Amino acid sequence: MEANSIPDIFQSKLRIAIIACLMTGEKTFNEVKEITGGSDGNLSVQFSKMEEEGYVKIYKDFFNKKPRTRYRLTNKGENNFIDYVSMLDQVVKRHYDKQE
Amino acid sequence: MNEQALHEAVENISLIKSVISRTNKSFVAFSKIFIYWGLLFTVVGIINLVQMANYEKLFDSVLNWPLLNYVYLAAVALIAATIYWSISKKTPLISLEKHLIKIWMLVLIMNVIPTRVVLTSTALDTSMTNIVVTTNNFSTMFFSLAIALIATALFADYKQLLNLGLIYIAISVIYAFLRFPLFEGATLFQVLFALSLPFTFFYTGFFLRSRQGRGD
Repeated sequence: MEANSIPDIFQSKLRIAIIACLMTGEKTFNEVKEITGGSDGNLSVQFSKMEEEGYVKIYKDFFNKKPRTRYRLTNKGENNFIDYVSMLDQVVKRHYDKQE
Repeated sequence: MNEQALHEAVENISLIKSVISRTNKSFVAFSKIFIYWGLLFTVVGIINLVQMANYEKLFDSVLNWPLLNYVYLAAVALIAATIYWSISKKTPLISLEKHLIKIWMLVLIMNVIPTRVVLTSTALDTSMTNIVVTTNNFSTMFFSLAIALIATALFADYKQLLNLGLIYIAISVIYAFLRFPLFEGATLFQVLFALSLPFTFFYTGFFLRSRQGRGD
């Protein structure tokens, strides 16, 4: 991944936070909300976009007789996030290399 | 590469780092549950002190209605469970706190289980009808709290909780094996016993909440 070809998914801070949060494992909507601090509406919109792009898989089931939605990062989402973090790392490294 | 790209890269790296560390070491719901449990056990401690102060008056009623003790325990357990459910419903327990709360629950249950006393005597001793047996789980309670504190400290990497756990182990061992003058005075001992549970929950709850606030 190059600095000038960052996927659209990584253009939003909330989406980056959601993906980082899902990197440590599957989460429910409320867990993601608690960690990222996003509002219900905003999170729903971002999750739909990430599902469309194939970054997130959504599972719906029942827990204690109540509907529950869980979110998991797909392989594509995981790999692209790793590439994105490496790219960020390269940007910072290159800057310090130039300074030296 | 311009300064703006660098600035954005640094900002996004710190955002990712903070989210991942928050996911691994979030104690939002855990600390809230502990503070409320601390309040509950303060009330329980006060009731226990009142019971101990009026032991002779209450002794007969406990003998007549042994179920009273169980009803009281069930009520405390029900309130503790309600606190847990209502908080975890609003703020779900995540990652590490989900596992640590199970350890603490087991420790609490361990302290509630009554000690079973079996008296055995030879045929000659059967005339001794006025035997009063008092059970005391001071050492085991402190030791069990120490285990939970040390487990929390090791997984969450907080030295202060580890130190408190070690102090509890020391208290537990001193009480079990040594005749220490501090423990001989009944009132002081009873107050210490009644306050230990709420103090542990308040300390752990407020400590983790303060760490959360500082983003540690």
